[in-house]
Amino acid sequence: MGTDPEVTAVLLAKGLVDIFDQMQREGAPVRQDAALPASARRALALVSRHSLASGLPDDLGACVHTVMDMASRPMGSWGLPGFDTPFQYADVVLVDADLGAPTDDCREMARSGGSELSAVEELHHESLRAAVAGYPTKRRDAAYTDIREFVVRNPAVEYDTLLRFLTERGHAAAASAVMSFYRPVPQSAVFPGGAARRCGHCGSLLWPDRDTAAFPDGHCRVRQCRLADPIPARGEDIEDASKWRVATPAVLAFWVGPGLAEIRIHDALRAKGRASTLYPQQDAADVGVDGFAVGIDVKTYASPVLLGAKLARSVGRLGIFRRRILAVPDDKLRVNRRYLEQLRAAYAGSLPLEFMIVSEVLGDL
Amino acid sequence: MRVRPNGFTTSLRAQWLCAAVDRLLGGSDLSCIPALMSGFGSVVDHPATAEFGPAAFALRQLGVSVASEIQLRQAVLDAVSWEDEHREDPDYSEPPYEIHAERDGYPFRRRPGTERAVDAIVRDMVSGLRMDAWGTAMADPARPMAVMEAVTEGAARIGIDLSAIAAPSPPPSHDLSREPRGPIVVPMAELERIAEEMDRRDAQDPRRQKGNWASRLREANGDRKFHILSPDRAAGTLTEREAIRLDGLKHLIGLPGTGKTTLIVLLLVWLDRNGYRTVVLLPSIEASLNLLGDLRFYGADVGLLVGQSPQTRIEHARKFAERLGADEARGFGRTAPGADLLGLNCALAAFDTDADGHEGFPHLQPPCGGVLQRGRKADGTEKQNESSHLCPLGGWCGRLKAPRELTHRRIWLGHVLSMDTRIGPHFSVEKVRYFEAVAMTADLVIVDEADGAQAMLDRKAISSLDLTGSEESFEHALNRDLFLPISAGRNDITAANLQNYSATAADFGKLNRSLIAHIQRDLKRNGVEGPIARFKDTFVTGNNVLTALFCPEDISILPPDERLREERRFNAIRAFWDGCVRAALFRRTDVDQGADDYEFDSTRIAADLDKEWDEVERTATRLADLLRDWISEPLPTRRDRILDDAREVAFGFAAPREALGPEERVELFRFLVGVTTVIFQFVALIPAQQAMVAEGVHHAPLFKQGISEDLARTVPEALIGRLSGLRYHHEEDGSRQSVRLQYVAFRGTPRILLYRLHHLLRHEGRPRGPAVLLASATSFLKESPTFHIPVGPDIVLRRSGADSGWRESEYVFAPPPDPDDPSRRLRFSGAPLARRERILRQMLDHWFSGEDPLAVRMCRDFDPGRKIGFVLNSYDQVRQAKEHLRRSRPGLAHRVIGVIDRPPANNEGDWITAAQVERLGMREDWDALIFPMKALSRGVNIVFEQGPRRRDALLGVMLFMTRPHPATESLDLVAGLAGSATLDFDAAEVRPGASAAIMSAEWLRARRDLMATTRRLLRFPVQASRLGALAEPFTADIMVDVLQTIGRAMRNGCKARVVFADAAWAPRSAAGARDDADSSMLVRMRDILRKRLSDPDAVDREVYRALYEPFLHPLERCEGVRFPDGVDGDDD
Repeated sequence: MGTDPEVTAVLLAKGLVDIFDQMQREGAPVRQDAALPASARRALALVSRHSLASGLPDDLGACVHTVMDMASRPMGSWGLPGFDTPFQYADVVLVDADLGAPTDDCREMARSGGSELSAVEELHHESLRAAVAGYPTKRRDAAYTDIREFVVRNPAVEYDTLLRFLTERGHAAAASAVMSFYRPVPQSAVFPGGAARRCGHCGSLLWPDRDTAAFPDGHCRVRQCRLADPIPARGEDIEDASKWRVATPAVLAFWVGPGLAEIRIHDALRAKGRASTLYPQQDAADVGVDGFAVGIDVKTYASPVLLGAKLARSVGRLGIFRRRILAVPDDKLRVNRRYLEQLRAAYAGSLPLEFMIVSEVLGDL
Repeated sequence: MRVRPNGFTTSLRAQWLCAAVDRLLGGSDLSCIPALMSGFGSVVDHPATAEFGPAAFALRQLGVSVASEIQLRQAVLDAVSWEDEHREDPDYSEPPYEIHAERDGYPFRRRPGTERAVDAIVRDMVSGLRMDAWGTAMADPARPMAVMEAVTEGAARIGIDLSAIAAPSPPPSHDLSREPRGPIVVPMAELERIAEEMDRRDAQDPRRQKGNWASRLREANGDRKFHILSPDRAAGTLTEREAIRLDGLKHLIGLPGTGKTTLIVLLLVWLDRNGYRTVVLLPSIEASLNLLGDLRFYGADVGLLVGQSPQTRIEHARKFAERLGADEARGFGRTAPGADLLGLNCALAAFDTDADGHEGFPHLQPPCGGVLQRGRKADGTEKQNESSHLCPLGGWCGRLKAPRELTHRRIWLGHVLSMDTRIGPHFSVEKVRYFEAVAMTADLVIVDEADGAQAMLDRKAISSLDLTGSEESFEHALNRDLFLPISAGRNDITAANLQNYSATAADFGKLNRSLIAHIQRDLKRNGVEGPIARFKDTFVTGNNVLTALFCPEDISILPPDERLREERRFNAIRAFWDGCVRAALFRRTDVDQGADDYEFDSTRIAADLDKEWDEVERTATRLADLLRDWISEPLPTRRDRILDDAREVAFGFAAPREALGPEERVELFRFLVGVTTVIFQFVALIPAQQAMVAEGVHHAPLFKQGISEDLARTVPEALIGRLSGLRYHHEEDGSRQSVRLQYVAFRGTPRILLYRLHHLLRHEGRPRGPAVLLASATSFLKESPTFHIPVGPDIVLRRSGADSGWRESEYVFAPPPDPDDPSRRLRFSGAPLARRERILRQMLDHWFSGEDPLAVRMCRDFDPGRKIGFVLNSYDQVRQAKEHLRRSRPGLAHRVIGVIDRPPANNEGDWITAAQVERLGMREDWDALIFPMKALSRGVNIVFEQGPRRRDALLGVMLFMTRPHPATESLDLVAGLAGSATLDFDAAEVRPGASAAIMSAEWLRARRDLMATTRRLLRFPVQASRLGALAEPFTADIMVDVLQTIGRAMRNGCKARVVFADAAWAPRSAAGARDDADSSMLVRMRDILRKRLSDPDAVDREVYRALYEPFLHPLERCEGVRFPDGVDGDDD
């Protein structure tokens, strides 16, 4: 993961802003030691990766001072092949060397980015939309739904199954985008004896844990899966891990995790005979019911206050539905019994929203 | 590090010594071995022992350390015991010598039929040992690999996948087969040509500040600006030379600003153009980076020699960051030459296979040699288990750029301590340190500020740290850096290594307090005559206390057989005790079934103590259990009872010395437990410091280790031998008596590296090493044990017309009147601790009060445009001074820059670190600089950066607020005296006909003399008034630092005004009476300089005059001092 120049550029912007903010806060000079923000450290490593992958004789990312010096010139001039034109940020200068501060561009990129995973997720989302844009207009929404549903239901998948899905469902045009959502099963996921294991709850992988007494079968890394089902369940054993693929960390974090509740709602509604659609209108909502009658978005934020603030800024395209439900997994109430109450209080948006937990949604619809 | 020859085992090292003495010296006993094996050039290069030299070198390289009677005895006992233990083995082969362990001098006899075995041993010793190889394979980038978050049990694992990228080229290796080219002759005319070439290069870059190199060499009228002189000893004069000849060891001296730096830069460019390999050792890595930037600009092939341990890298990166962060941008968007060589980010981190991994990736302790991968068997299949491999990115990554570049750079710039770094496995097949590689392959080594380098190396011979009982102590630092932040909420780091460190540190604190409580209790109960008082101010180890408990009073008067038996008995008790304590401390939750893992041989202990094997096993597990309980039990009374039980068990097993009374037995045993546990626990904490610096817990390592084992085996042992252990001393603090506990280790004489580098490996068949040039301004002062370089001088730089500047220098002794009693003058140094801060404030008020403060006026009426420097003794004093000014003179305080170790957050540029000082030349927003003397002496130049006075010293007035004095527990003087006496003995010319026995006697005499001096120094706190005859070397050492500091104000031949503002400089003069050398450091300084300027040797006298007249001239006229001979500065 992390080989896209976009991700590196955004993360570097964030790292530089983090360094600057920390410097302003603490008054200490820019240092490479333990004080260097993790975002910057990761971004530097990614710059190193690009340098090596591009066959450069020098590692451009080893030192924050030299990177800052580079960053005071347009990215296209750094000598990194992936960063020159037509790279979208090729003209961007991240550091104003005269002022000793991040540029406005840098701040904007940092704001858009968030973490490395969310930057990658954004890329995945964009690449899927770009891929389905090549489909006939009428098929685009269905294709988006089909592919994303497949990924969410198959966070670990045998390579042959993946290929079959792409060919049999007519997604050859989106093949490279879909492939980029997966990676080979890492060595660190393989248990002694050579096999990998699937999670009995979400279908992704179980990872070996040092504490074999408490986690004899390993543990699932999808946070929402662990929250929903705290007791690990061992699914299928994968004897030959080389024939399998697992979703990238960004897909696991931003699609598969929240997707568990989305799938649960969708499947229950279908079982009741309701006309439910996953990711209608290319992700206008997580679940759409009866066309534009009901739109359901599932959010898994730990903090109701942050979620309320985020929704107040924008509810995205949920607004196109007549009835709008914001659902949170049931486990949120286990940790914080006043979650919904606090969420309602924190939401100051003008568009009316209904807040409920997933099981309430199922009872209500 | 060398490969052990076949057949060499440590237990039989005495056999190898016998072979060397027998065959190479024709001797038949080992009596001279301690002197012969100490590694002194005067001994091993002497004609009588020349054949023995290579064997001594080889054996020392193998770790045979028999430089004292005790070590030799141990070696002999080991060899004799080995025979007893192995005699019944089926493949037993009798060693070639029968050694009489019970007789004085250990006579030996060669056994018949062993000639061939002895031949083989001697051949191995004299033919040079092979260097050991690393043997670590490079990880295969095409296959999966992993790294660990930390080197601690329970650390997480991070998968790495490099299969998607093309593997970078393999790392280059050092060519150790290259040989030095021999003498170098540099004509001055060629240096002038180089200077012109460099000026032309400057002219091509309009943004660059011009070096004006040619005009640094010649005046506009064509006269030389400085002359290169060398002594003509026969004629007793210094003669001008048109060429510099560099061969063997040479000593160059020149005052600050006489052109030393100019000469070195030109020389380096010339050497580079002519294909020479040169190593330049500078006072700091910052100075190296500055020079590196310039040399790169002029096209020289230059690299950076810098220590590679994680904490050293972090430390240099921090200083570099501070230098960059000197302006208001605080380094954001800034860089400087050499940044690319100090990168700390590890490229491997971007290839993790696991999103959860990268938060914990050990960037600051990167896995360069610790990449885990399954190796391949001979048949190509993978091995079952993973093992450590070299990182496959080592040939490319930025983190290793500096050491990688050194494989091919012609010029290496670095710090003298960087030489004691091992070349990493990526860049050398063999385990070689840089000092060895330099000795093998370089053409020239230049040591700039060589006297400072010497002092730095001396300090590496001593490692010391207060364990508890002071604000500088290890325990205090653990509280400050570890426990306090965690308890205050900084508990986000959950790494296993931090938890481990924290638990060990908590135990360490507990053990410390237990020992301190015992010492305090003994003092209260018995005054200074208690059972453990004998250990006060000595080096206490478990060994000493065990000796006091279990050894007969004087073992040497016993009959030979009995003595041997006693020695074996004692060794057995020591091994047994150490094993039990280690087990109790480090295997806390184990239930011992037997003593299998106690690191001792139960069978041998049983034999030496005349016990059954079962009893040894039983007692060990019982004792370890009791000690575990003692460590864990919180209630003091119960702990006492447990200790009583442990004592009964121990004494039941081995009877203590009969003459000891019951109280002595009880107290000594308690002391033994305290000392052993504290030392073991401390030693266990040391390795973890490195990781804690990387975790950001500690700012820098708290205990700096001494020299490496490799260097210690190459330079001679110190004449005072090896010492290590705890020292404790009582301190009066008002009505309270506190105890300060210090850990000290002393080993080796690293300064001798400078003097032997030109033929360091002569005993390994490499007679020619690099030429070595030791350069400095203050390296020639016979009275100074720390700074004097007793070689040459061979090259003297003298500035033409340099007189004009310094003749106008003026020194003033002007302590301010005491506002509480205007008839008295303020005295800071020597005042009671509680009063000092107040005195400092009163002094500051004197210099800074009023509309037009005296501090500002003093610059204006001396040399307008230049600034004033206030010299203090410590960072704490700087903090106090700045704080006082902030309160008392808020309008002025921000224009007084304080030099500090850790600048406070969000300061406005009025607090800087030493690394930022040179940037002051470009700032206009200040009037005065306050700094501790040691922070700012060598290699730091604060000069006008532009304008008509460019390169002149910016500081014009130096005001010494205090009389410099080392801390009372400082060991610098001991280190200097030990280094100096050892060097003298190393370089001594023993008369040609002397035998090994005579050399041994000489060595013993020199050793005895030095021991008498150092014992005295170690016993008492270092205080000028208590030093007696040592006051002269003490003052001379301090004077070098004082002159270096004054020298900062004399750059480019400028005049300086120096103010001695503490009455302690000349207390009697301050009171209106006459001072003498005993009462006044200024008088003693004058006397030392006068003595030098009347040196009987005409050449030395002329050199001393060139060096010190600029200081002596104003010092003799120092206003305010009443000299003993009636010539008062005021009279002039």
